[in-house]
Amino acid sequence: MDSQLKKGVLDVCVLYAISKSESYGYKIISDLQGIIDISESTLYPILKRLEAGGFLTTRTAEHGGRLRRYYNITTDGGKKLLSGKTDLHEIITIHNKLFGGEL
Amino acid sequence: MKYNEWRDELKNNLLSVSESERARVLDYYAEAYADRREAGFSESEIIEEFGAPFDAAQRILADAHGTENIQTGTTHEPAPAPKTVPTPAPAPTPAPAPAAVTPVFVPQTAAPVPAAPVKKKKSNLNWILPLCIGAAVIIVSFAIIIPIRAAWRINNFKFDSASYEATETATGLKLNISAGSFKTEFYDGEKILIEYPVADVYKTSVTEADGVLTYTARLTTTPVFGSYNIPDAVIKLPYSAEVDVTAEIKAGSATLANGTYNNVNVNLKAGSFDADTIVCESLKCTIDAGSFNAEKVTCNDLSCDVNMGETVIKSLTCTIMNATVSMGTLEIRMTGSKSEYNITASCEMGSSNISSQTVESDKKIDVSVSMGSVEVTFDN
Repeated sequence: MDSQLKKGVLDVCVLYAISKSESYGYKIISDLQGIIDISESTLYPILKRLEAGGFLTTRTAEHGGRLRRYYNITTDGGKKLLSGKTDLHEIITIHNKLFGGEL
Repeated sequence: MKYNEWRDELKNNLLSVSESERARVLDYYAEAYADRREAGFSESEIIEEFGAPFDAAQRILADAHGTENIQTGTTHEPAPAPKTVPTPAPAPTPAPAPAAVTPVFVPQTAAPVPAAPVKKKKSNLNWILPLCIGAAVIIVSFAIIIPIRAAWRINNFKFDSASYEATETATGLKLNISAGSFKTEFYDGEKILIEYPVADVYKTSVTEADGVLTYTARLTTTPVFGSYNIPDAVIKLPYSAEVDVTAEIKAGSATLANGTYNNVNVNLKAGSFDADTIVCESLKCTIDAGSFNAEKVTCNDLSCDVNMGETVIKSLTCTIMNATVSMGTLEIRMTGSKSEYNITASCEMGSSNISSQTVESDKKIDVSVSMGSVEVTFDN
């Protein structure tokens, strides 16, 4: 997939993964398994960028004697997710028109 | 490589970012390592998943270059505007040289001996440049030909086939599909029969235990260029059978034949699920992504959890319908009249065309929408 397109899709996927409930790094990756391939190395800059943009917040909590960072979606993150969903639908529509014989 | 060695190498590749950022990255990976160990992965599996520490560092550095000064950790400021260099005053025009005096007598001098021709040193660039151009053309040609050839090979890859007949009367069918597709058919036989593709790149297996047949299919490698045309797996069900069907589809597609099943449970991570006319005791579908389409469903109860996919049922006859829609879309046409159903409907940020009502009836519709959209219509 084109890198710029994938970047936008990955943002939507990560926001979706934390939209239903608070989540953490490995859980985000395993929840998205089968939908899109994402590794820790790819996820880190995405989470950092989304946090810097105000689309998610983080908190650190104790888990099993160690610290774990949890991610929560913000209202702005929800809006970005909705916008991303609309964009994906538009892509599907364009795809269907291009390769569905309408052109 | 051990995790500590991996971590140290990552750290050494991140010396150009600020100390706070480096600490944050190392904490992130330490947490990821601990979570994966907790999930049962071995140290070597985790290292393989993380990839080379140099590559991981490059991604972080690529991100850091866009947001912070990698030397000082301060926010990048725009370069100052270049100072305007004042135009120097034009030099004064020099006085014209005095006119040359034409000599009256020009002494005869010997004709100058022409100098020996200076051999012009040949420039190496004369042959290097065409060589570079030629090499570039060859490289670009290969860069085009190799992917096309690879894609052609992948697209025309030949699969073998195998089959498995159940040893006893099966009551359940479990399908775990990560790639490829399957479809069910009804036939005159007495036992469930599965015909499925096999290949080195496509790992498939059929197991049978306690009356349940389990079919698993996944690709061992994901091609970079092109995609495999994987033949369908065909699952033949006896006409007399009413089996439980449980399908988890991570990618690929599934088609359920017209007929009667017992309980149908579909977990669609991505890909598509299609059915024409099915009758079953209960239908449960969880749609994370992808599309679920059915023409006509008759069941006692339907439970539908649509996260980010699309679900369309063009005709549904059931007593109890329960739908939760997060971000996806759900379209259902119910048989009968709206006045026959007790309806509980809630909608947060999405859209829904149905509202709550209470009637004297056993029939129930329960719809909850978060950010997606729901459209429930009725025949009457």
